[in-house]
Amino acid sequence: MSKRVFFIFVTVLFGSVVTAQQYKDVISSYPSYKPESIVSGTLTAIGSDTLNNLMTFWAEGFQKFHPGVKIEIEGKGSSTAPPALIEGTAQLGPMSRKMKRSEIDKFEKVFGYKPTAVKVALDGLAIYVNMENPLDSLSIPEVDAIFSKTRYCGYPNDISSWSDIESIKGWSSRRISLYGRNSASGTYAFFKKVALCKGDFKDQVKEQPGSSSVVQSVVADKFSIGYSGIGYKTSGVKVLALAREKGGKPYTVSYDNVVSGKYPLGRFLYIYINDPPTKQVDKMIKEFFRFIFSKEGQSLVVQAGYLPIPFKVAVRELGKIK
Amino acid sequence: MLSRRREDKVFSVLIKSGGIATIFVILSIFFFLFWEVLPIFVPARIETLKITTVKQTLKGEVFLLDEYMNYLISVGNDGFKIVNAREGDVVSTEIINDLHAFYLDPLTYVLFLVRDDATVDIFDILWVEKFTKFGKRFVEPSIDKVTSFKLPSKVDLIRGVKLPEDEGYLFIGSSKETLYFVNLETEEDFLTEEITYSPRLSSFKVEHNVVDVAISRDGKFICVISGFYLSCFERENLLSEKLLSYTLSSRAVAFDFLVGDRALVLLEDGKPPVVWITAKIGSEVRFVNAKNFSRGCKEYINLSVSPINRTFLAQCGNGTFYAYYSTNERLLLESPAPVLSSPIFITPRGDHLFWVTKDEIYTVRFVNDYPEISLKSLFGKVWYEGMDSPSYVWQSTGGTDSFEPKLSLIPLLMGTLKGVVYSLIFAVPISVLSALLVSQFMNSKQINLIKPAVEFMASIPTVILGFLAALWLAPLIERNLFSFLVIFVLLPFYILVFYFVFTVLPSDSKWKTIGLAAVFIYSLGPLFHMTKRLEYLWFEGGFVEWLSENGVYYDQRNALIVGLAVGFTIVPIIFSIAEDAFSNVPKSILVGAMALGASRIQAVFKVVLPAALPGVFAGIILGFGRAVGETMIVLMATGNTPILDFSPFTGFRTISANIAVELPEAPLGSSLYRVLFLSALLLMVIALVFNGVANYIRMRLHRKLKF
Repeated sequence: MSKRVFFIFVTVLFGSVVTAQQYKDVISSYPSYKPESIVSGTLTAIGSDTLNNLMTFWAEGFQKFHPGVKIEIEGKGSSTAPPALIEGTAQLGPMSRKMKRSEIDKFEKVFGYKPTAVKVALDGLAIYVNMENPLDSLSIPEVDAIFSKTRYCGYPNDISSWSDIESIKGWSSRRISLYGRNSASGTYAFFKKVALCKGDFKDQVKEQPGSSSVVQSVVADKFSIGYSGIGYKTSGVKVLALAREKGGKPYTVSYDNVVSGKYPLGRFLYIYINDPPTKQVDKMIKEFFRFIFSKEGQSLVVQAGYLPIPFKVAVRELGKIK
Repeated sequence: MLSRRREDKVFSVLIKSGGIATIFVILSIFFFLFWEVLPIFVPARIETLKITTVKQTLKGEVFLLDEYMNYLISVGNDGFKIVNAREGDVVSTEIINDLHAFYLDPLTYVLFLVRDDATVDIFDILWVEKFTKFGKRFVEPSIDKVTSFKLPSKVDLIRGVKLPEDEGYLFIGSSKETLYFVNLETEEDFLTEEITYSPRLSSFKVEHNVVDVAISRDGKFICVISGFYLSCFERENLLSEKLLSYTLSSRAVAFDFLVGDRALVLLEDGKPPVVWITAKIGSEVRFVNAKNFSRGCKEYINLSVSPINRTFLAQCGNGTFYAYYSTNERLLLESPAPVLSSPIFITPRGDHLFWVTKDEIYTVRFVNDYPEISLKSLFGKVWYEGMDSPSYVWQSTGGTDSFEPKLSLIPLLMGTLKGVVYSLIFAVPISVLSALLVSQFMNSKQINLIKPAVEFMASIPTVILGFLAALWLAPLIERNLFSFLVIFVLLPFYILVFYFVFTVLPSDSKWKTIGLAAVFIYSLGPLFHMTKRLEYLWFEGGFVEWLSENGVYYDQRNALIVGLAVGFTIVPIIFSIAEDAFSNVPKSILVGAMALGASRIQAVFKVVLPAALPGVFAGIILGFGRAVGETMIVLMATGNTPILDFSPFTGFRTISANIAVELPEAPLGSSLYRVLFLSALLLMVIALVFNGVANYIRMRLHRKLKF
């Protein structure tokens, strides 16, 4: 089964209705997309696999306005983007992380200038607990001690029962029921890298095939905790505020906190382009970004399960493209 | 007449070829699975030796070859050189006259040079990407100076790493009993994006002369050999809190961290390599000696760790070299080196080995695709990095490349077995007894109602069952576990009570049956409330809480739920076959038994049931096969937790669900991919063996019970 088919299958299966409602304010601050001119040609994007679905959505949306544009998307991982940009085999390099300095250096050695990074969407991983759970916040070492058997983030003891968490002592002596994504997903890998400090999951983490199925399981299981994309929040669950260190100040998954990096499990998603400082960028690329930073484009971000970026940032990002 | 014979012939050929085709298909599935699994049995090997003559004498001691093997970097006491490794020309030479000590880290590509005036120069080795005119990629090395730092005094030994995520550099210089620890932290100017390094120096005194130092590439751990003592520390608690202390018995030749930074290899003359891994001992991190390796050299020359996995190579003075894999303690390869007494090195992709003499470069291809797979790692207990004890673990993927794959099939096999056992516990009594009831005690009108209903059960898509089990049944049972268990146990007796009342009541009208049935159903409600009341009295309101306080973990997605759901799918299979078997027992036997004075029940249980047993057995085995292969329900309702216990209140992960979850993302031809195929093959073999055994038993029973 191809990944896309599997994705669709799982989405249909669990009736994932992503609530665009939550981000209505942000999206409504964007203007509707009006093409400056109708463009045509071929656009190639090579890079992140996380952004694959979103890129496909954008491509389909963009083609509705510009029927003459053909968009090819290849998503094998963020590391494939820089070489593709350097070789010129792709005009767009979607990446779910920033370019490393060595990658930028390589680009610079060829072209003499740096590639342009455009922040196109936000991704925030949320830790969910059941609505009835009195817990409000955790620190990353605690999250690690809950989910991991290696505890590489440095928490001294294992946390296996709700009574092991001091802030809600006396609530329940039940074991913590753990939910997470299946190992094939990027969410699993990101969580493992950031929240487990590259450690290993406990065997007891129940792997769910889809992001929304994690949330649904948490709704149905009073003593559970799970991680999934913030786009999948429903009523019946509570999103925890997270602190980077034990005893640190916990931050909620608000825009501001994800944007400023105070919330530890947030990240930007980027599209890198080759934008020479002396020349104008291709009209088609410019139009594509204008589409991304429009009401339509940012609604698609939500549809793909990510967070739209604040309009202010979008204006700045769009300004980067000359 | 003739045409009829021809017809027979045509059909017999058709049927035969159909049979042969079936066998052929099954065999080819086997063959395909076997073919996909086969490569993991091929041991690691070296092949195609290539020798390049270098046109100048190389005085280097440490070498680095790029991933395409075009350029060799040679570092020695006189400076460094870049050599075209295909042609043998020296591309560039940097002669440094006042070089006192140097270190080249083969994994983070950073070079430290110590000058006579105690200055440490740090160079990044960058692989600059180039393309040939045919569009083929290659890399050219570029050795760029990053920064330099002046130590308080000259050092004889230097070790250092480049930290991940552009965090900066760490290095340790030492001479005699002094250790200098330097951390160069990256600072990026907010406006100009210019990069500067802010150094932090700390110095330490140790009791003995420092022999060697190893720094983990994430900068977390530092190990020091001073005198005959090896000790490891966390960076923050350098020389204060020992994570490892070990006394050497002979000369320590080399030690280094493996990929992943959680395992330390030491080569000591006359001993096999020793590997320590980090472990959680209570709440403390410690390095433990958890691995046993075989062979080893009397006299080691050097150690080379693979940049891509936990393979490491040891070169002996007698010209033999060994390749080991840390996780499963495997000796991958023992082979003579093409040159005597030159150190062995491995390329950045881990696919070539090379040795460099004064004027020659020897390269061999190192075929080592599946080092992590061995009998021990698939079926044995392994002490993995970071864990507190050896265990059977399935965790195939990680967030980073340096992840240690954990590929034990034991949790999956146990999970499969657990799933089958719990679904059979539920399905066998219900289906066999109901088949007995339908075939022996019902009239044809009732049969015509019941049979299609049962068969309809089989046509419900398992996705729907899995969905219901996970999101409806699981929370329902969690809330009412006590009542569920009590009613499940009591129900048969409760029914018997009603049967007794039924026989005692005199009337014979059909209203008696309907009335009693109504009372029976109506009484279930109060019964349920009674159990709730009991739960409240006995367990202070919560049976599940009581269980968890007594050490029994109740997971909402558990074997009980899956047993019910999978049991539901196999009930119709066992039912229809068992029902056929019961119906096929000749009526004459039953009638004969009853004529000899047996009651109906006696006749059914003592005569019909034994006679039909082979058929019933076949049905159970078919149900077993169905349960082994059941994927969707298990996938959705268990949580796929690869744990190892037989508690009905915890989940499990079956082989089939595991394949469904992991195969779509397994890189083609990778170890994970092969292991998944191996598990598929195992699943087929299990099914085949069970079918064979079942058929054999059935035949024997059949022969025994022939009438």
